[in-house]
Amino acid sequence: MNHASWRPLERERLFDHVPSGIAVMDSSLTVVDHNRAFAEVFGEARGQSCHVVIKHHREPCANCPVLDTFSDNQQRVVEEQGTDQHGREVDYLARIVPISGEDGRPQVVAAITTDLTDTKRLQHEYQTLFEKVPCFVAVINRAHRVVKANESFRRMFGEPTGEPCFRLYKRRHDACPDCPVDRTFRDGGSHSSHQIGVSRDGRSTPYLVFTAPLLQDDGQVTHVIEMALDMTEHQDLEEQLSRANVMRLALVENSLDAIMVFDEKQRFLLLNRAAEKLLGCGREELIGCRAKKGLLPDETRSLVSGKRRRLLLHETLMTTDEGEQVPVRVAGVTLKLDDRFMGSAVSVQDLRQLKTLEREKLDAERLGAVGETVAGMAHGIKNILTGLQGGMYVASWGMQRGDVERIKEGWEMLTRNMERISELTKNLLAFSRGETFECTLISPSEVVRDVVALYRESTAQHGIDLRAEVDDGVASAWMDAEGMRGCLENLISNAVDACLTSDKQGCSIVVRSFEEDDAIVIEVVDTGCGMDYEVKQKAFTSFFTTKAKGGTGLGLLLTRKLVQQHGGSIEFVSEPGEGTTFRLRFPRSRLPQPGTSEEDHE
Amino acid sequence: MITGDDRLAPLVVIVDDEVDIATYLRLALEEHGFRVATFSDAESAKVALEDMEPDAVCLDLLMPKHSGLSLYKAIVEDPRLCRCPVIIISGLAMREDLPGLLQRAGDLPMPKAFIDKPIMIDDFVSTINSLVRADAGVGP
Repeated sequence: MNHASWRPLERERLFDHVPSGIAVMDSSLTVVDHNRAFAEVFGEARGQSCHVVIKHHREPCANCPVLDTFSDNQQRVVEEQGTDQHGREVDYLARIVPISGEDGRPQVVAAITTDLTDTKRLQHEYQTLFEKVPCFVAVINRAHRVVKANESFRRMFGEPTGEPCFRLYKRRHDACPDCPVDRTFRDGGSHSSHQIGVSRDGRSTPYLVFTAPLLQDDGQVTHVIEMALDMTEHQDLEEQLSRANVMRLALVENSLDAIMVFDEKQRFLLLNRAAEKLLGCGREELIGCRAKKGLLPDETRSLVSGKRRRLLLHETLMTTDEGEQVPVRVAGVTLKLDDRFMGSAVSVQDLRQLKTLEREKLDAERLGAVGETVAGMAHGIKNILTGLQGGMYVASWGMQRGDVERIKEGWEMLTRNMERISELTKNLLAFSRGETFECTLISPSEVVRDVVALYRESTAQHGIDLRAEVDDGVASAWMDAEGMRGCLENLISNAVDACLTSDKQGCSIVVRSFEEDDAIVIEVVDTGCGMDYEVKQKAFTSFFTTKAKGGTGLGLLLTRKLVQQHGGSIEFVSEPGEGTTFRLRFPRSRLPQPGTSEEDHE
Repeated sequence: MITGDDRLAPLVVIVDDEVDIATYLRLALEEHGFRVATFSDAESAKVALEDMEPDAVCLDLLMPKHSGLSLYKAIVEDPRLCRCPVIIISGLAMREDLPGLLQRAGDLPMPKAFIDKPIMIDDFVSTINSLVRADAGVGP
């Protein structure tokens, strides 16, 4: 293709292929031609006014650059905003070029447009980011003056008026010796540092400061952008956290219970003073090591290895390094993070002191009972003395009158009351000395069954229905079999008396044994005469008896003593005319340990 | 059962579950010319008293089923019996415990007499004598 043939055809194609939109207007602002790129934005426009096509205005624009070019024949570049054929706002840069005729005056004017919409959007986004970022952002020149600042900065320090950054941030009169802005100016790199500023109200404020260079096309650093983050809240939180940590450590360290924490590999991670004392080893020996076999109760192994989630042993034994068997209570829990086994924490309570206190309490109760006994003894003996007086009176009355029947009656009264005083003395000795307390592994339900069988015949003769309702699921326990038998005999004997005293016919006695809340419970329920207020108040008083012939008033007292020796409790409910229920409760955790004898427990 | 020969002799009711003590007091009173009715519990005494006009009632405090205090209360609250003198006999309570016991039992008035066990029989008989032979109509 030669020069001549290229010109008309290719020029026209080129016009259409230019990526910028081109529109050609005459002096009446009518679009006489435009290329494809222009039409893609503003649609087909030939023959229409440019202000209608580009701005969607009926009237020409107030400062129309096309008319200005027609008037002064000068090229100009303007930034304009229009509306595309779909009604969207369009930012564009327009170069207005006059195309002159032979007379040198512009015949038409071409507007060559570059779409700025995306650039503008990006600019807007950067501006929003700059303004809204939640830290202080400032653009600083070489003289340390703040030339531009974001919203957070302006809110805190006011509009930038060219004041130097050191005055705004630190109330200083000269640049800081370790100025991060200076460093960035010097080496062109980004830097971060911790700085302490002074807030408007004079408060010392910690800042985390980042600086980055703003480079010109020639690579020169003309400004530095500085971002400062107020760390006050962060520092407060850090302080709170460290205070909480100190408190937690102090609590753990000073706990009276031994506290040990193990990692996931079962190694000691932490242990407190009480743990060192209990284990007889310093933490420097233990931390990082696994617990030796026998150091902790065997049951804790499954917890420390993560095989079980929780552990609670009300009472178990631990052997100290000196070989002493120590009663302890153990509680433990595994530590998990997002279901991942992290280790375990174990707390061990040394029960030695508690056991001593419990024993002292039992002793005090016993001493109290002895006090009551002495007071009660006076009352009990008074009745017997009166009986003896009566016997002597009746016998001497008979002797004075030669009445043999009366002498016999008086003699019987004397004998009866002598027997009572002898029985009383025997029981009193049993109570004060304490009977043998020998624990063996027994089945509580079996004891109930045996004692009930023993009494069944004699009660049946009196028309009383005595039966046992035992739960065979009650596991064996370390108890004093003879003592338990004695207790039940006492309670059944009382129930029999209550039935005999009742006006009702066909009374019944039920003896139950069952397990409840990890405790063995034995109940003796009768439908006998019941007790009124005064009798109930005196039930556990020594020498109190409602039995007309022969009660010593020590039975319930002995029963209570034995129940307490087993770590149990006794209580009763009674309604006059309805009956009485005695309930013995033996928590398994408080039962004597194997090998307990009178000396150990008393 | 009422014992004693003279139908005109004063009648004393004894309520005590201690059979020996009841026998002792009965014989002593009979010897001094009283008629005596003995009961071993408060409930049966209460029933019997509905048909009796005793000149004095001797009450033990602590007995099976119902205590002596409940019978004392019944006597005090019975318009027919409230003037009958009551003598409380007890080995359980001391004389100084009595006001508290009476208050807890429902603010009951003090009885005419309180006799502590063991019983000095001469004192007992003279107390009964003085109460029964004093102005009739002063009680309990």
